[in-house]
Amino acid sequence: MTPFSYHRPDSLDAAAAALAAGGPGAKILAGGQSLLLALKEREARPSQLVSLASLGELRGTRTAADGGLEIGPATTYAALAKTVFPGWQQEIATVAGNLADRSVRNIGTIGGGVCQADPRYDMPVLLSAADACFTLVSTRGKRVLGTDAFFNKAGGTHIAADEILSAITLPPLGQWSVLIFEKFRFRTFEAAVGTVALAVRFDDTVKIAEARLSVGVVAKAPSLATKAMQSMTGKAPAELPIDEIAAAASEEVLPLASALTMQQKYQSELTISLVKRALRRLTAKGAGHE
Amino acid sequence: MSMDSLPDKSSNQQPKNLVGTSVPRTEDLALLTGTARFIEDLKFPGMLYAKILRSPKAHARIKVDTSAVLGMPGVHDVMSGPELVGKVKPWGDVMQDLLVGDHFPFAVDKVMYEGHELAAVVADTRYQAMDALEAINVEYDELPVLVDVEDALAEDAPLIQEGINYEFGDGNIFDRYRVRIGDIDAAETEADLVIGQRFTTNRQSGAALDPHGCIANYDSFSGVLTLYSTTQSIFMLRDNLADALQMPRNKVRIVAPEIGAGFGAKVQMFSHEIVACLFSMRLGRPVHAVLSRADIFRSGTCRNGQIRHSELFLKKTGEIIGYREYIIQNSGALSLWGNQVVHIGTNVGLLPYPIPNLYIDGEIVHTNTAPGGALRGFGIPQIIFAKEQLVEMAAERLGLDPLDIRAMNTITRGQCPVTTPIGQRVDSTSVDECLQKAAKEIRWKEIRANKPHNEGVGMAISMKYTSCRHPSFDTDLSAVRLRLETDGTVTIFSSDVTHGQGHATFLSQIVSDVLGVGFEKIMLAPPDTANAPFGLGTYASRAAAVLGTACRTAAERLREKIVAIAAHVLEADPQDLETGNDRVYVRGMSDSGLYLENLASFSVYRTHQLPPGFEPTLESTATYDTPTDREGSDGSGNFSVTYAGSSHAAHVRVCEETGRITILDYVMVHDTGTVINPLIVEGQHHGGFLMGIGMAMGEDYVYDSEGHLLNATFAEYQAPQAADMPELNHCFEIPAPSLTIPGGQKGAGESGTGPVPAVIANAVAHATGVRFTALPITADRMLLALREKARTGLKYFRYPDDMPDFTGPRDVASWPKPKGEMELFF
Amino acid sequence: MSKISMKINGRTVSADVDERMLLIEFIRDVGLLTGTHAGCYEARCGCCAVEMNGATVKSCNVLALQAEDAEILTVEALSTQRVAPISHITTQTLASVYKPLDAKASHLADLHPLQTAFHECHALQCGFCTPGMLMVLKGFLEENPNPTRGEVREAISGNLCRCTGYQHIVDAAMRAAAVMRGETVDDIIHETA
Repeated sequence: MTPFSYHRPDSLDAAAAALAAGGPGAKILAGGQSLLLALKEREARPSQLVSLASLGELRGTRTAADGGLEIGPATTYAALAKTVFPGWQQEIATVAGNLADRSVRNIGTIGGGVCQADPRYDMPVLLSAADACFTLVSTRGKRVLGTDAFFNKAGGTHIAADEILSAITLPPLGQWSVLIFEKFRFRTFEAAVGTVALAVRFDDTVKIAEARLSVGVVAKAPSLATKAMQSMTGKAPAELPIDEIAAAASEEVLPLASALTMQQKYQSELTISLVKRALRRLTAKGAGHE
Repeated sequence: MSMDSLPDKSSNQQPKNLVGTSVPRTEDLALLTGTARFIEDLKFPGMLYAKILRSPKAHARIKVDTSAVLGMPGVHDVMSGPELVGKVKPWGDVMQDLLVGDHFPFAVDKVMYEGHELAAVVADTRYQAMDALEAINVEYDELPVLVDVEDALAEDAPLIQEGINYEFGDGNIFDRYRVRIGDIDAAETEADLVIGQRFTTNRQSGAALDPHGCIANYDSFSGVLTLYSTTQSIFMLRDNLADALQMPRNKVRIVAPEIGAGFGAKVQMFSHEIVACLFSMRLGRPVHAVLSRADIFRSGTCRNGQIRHSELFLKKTGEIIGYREYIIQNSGALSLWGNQVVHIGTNVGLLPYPIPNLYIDGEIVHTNTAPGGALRGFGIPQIIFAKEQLVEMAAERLGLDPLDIRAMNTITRGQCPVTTPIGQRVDSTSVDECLQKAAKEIRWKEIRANKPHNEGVGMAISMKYTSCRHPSFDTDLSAVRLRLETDGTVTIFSSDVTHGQGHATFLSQIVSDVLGVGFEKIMLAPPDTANAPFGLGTYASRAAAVLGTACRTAAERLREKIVAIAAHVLEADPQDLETGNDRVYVRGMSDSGLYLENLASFSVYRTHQLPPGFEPTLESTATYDTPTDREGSDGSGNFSVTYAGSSHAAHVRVCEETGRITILDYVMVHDTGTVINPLIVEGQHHGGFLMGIGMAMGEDYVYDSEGHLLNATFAEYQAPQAADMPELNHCFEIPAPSLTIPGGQKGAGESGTGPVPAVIANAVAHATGVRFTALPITADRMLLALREKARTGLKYFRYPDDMPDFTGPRDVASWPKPKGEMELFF
Repeated sequence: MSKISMKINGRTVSADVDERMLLIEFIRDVGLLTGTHAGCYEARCGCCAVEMNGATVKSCNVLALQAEDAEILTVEALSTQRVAPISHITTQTLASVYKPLDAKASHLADLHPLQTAFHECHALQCGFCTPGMLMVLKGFLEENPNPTRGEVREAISGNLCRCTGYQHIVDAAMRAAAVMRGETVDDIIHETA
């Protein structure tokens, strides 16, 4: 690592001020599970680290004013995995408990993973399907970005150098009926080679009123399979032509004509399989909703 | 440290014979409590830290400018290749048996692989050394990079090792191999089936978790250079190091700390060891040099990759009458052990079939990739991957059960001792029984009769050497010195460095049984060339059999001395005396006799009590050099003193959606002869299996076209994790004690590795009709193969041969031939 | 440089450290406890696992500064060395005339049930990954006292071992879990081959 100074502010305002004062060489330290890897390799060479360790307000979950679920970005995956959330929001806990490994989950944070936004990470894809919002604060004020605005299609996020992610907010319970995450890894605890997340709201007749289908890994940011999503609306889960939708979704996010490397060909096939699995789970849940 | 043992719940006396018992290890207490000292745990006053700059380019002419380094904070010294030319002797000849030194501490005017050493810095702290590396300026004049071994064989391929004249060399070929036994043409005429297939195998890292490292400590007053190093052989290292540094061998001392595994990757001298020594000599201070994980992937040696163009000749009964092969081995840019992998691996890997007609050619080739070295299995997994798949392919063509073909061809217990056509002398085996047991336990016949969709069973059978005559030194020697201390305790001195195999425990079991000394009274001294007898080291599954035999002999000699003294003092006939419970006593009168601790002190402090003519002190040294051959020019010879046997079987299920291959059941049956410590041996088989499954199902060196290793991290490198391993609760031993090793034991370290890739490939082929002719067998390849197989409608599909983008030869007719006239070289 | 203080195995350790110092370096070089090992520095192999404020973390991937005021437990805490009479191995009259001296040592009898189980089940060969395995299993079993073998395997999937193939480690974890639940376990019969 190259040398840096270390600050541990005791309020969010102080942290924002430290970040602004530090200029482009200042970086936020949450759990450090992504950042430290880059530091040790000398790929990241910050002059200053601003630790969020004393900011209790960035940890834990609470209900937002509009009924949404506000997750503190400095909440560890382990803490999330132990929390019981209502309804479809429980998928957050399930996914949090099934990534990285025990030791990394104990200190790695959801905010850290989301800001790193590696295409193989789970949370960005899950949050993208759930249509989460991201609150960013700086000395210049506060702004809220939707998922599509938050993740950068060229990789990473659109967080400015002086901004701190202060909340990840899931929509209120009524927004969705079901949230499903599917992934495939070669080994038990490593980054996924394929991820798919599906959020669905049923109407009163248990037909799909709205669907968001997000696919990870194949591009630098989570990709929404919008045409596949549209084709699902208005149908009951049992009526869905699963194979067709899966093939269409895969083709949409990674057209076969562009899948030239072996890795891409596999991703294409895997996306089909994971979408099928998600749709089968949807059908099972749809049946349970009657 | 005290040497207590678990509270003894039975009688006061320990069981009469410890050999054969799973005595819990004496090594454990220090390791469990974190008090054992590995290389990184040693600290010396004034110790400095060395870091090595490594080439990011795989093939280039270089100019290294270190001028900016001296004067940087904390930096004491810097060095690079040119200043050492003519001072440090290039090495490699002795190990390779190729009479040329092609290894040097740094690249001098060109780099030959990514990771090749460019320069080194020594500083007060690690960070200061790393900062200084960034100030070193290197100019690169890039050369074409040869990643694939077949490209390295092309007529116009650039020469990687320039200016070196290898005995058997030709372009990038640096060694050749040839086997000519019987008459292959006659066999071809006689055969009812000749089945051929091209197989390719992968590079693999031992990835021992304890990084390669050393601390050099040159004493400027005595001129003695001491090196603490993670090495599997203290004497091979000492002699290579002393030779390279042109120092007298009695002034070079190698000490091994606790070593966290090696698997063959720590059995040779490395540049960082020389660099640390050179800095220490110049500065007169201890110098620490421990490699990073990325360095170890790139330059810590790895398994050699192979292309085997293999043909099996059979009669329609299934009898194997011939084997023909052209091997091309990728040994990286330089390799000390790589060529022997072809020589030894092929010879021993032909077992257990005593094939009468053999025609094998091998070319061992340099490429601009990581250096190839010794790794658990040593060429046997590669040939078994080819041969045991050909057996199942032949079975399919002949309408026979592969189990029956194996049973018909394998040597059997009843036939032994037997000499095979290539010259192996197998003293004993139960490998035929292992085969049947494995088949029975996996439910071979039932599953094949009623094959579930996407499930299958596969088998393989192989044998393993128990140590091997070192190919170039022409030796297979180990030695043990025992000292009965004057209080009746015993010290064992050995230079065969233990690194997880439990030497302290099983050697003590042997000594305890022979001498009658209490197990807890015996200690293995830390390996140190200053006081250990000369031995080759721990590798090639040799410790239990070769070191164990030296130990047993030393103990017997010591026992003779003890009994002679006791006979004199007790005025008894030596034939009437027994040893046991720390005593020597007249048979039948176990409560009387002489305590060893009294007897031992007589022998030095009361020498008038000794028998006339008896030489005082109670030390004995014994060596064991196995009765083995060097390789003949036709490839024949018996390289190993005895052979272990393995037969494995797997039941797998393949997921059509993801390609994941799940091992539902895995059976291992081994012949390890007389087992000294069953739990330790079982652990060796489990570990051998892990290395095999890694090779079979995920581990690989992934290079881009510029020779950059893309997966040189544990994040990317597919080392198996606990949840991805099957339960190994079907592990059996069918002992056929060795007739050559006095204690009957055979090596265990590598038996678990050899069959694994073939077993998995055979099981997957049975499950899906997709036969993998390349390793590793991974989920992504599996899925794409399944999709392509479905698209083409082929009943039998080969991966990668039948994939549309495959550019290699798809059939025997289009196979390449060896370069040049092989016969001229032998 | 920054001042930092933390408790390691109950003992306060303070120093002035380079901000870049990793927790593992603090434990080993300042705390002088070398049982925690570095195998990769990538937070993958798990040899560096320690307990921080009651939960395991990979100490190669945590800054020492992140452990300010933390309670750290390392493998050395699983059984402490104590001063006790050294075993007498002399069988002669000295034994009855003089009492054995005291010396500091580790004792098999003092081992944590996990360590004992590892010893009995041959769950370690080279021992390099062992401290990390022990710390992760300790945390896991305290949270999950009655796991299945599959759950144990998942729990240690962040720890690599290249020697044992994991089989005996899982055996040892199951055995230790039983002991930690207060159950009696059979003596491991040291069988002949």
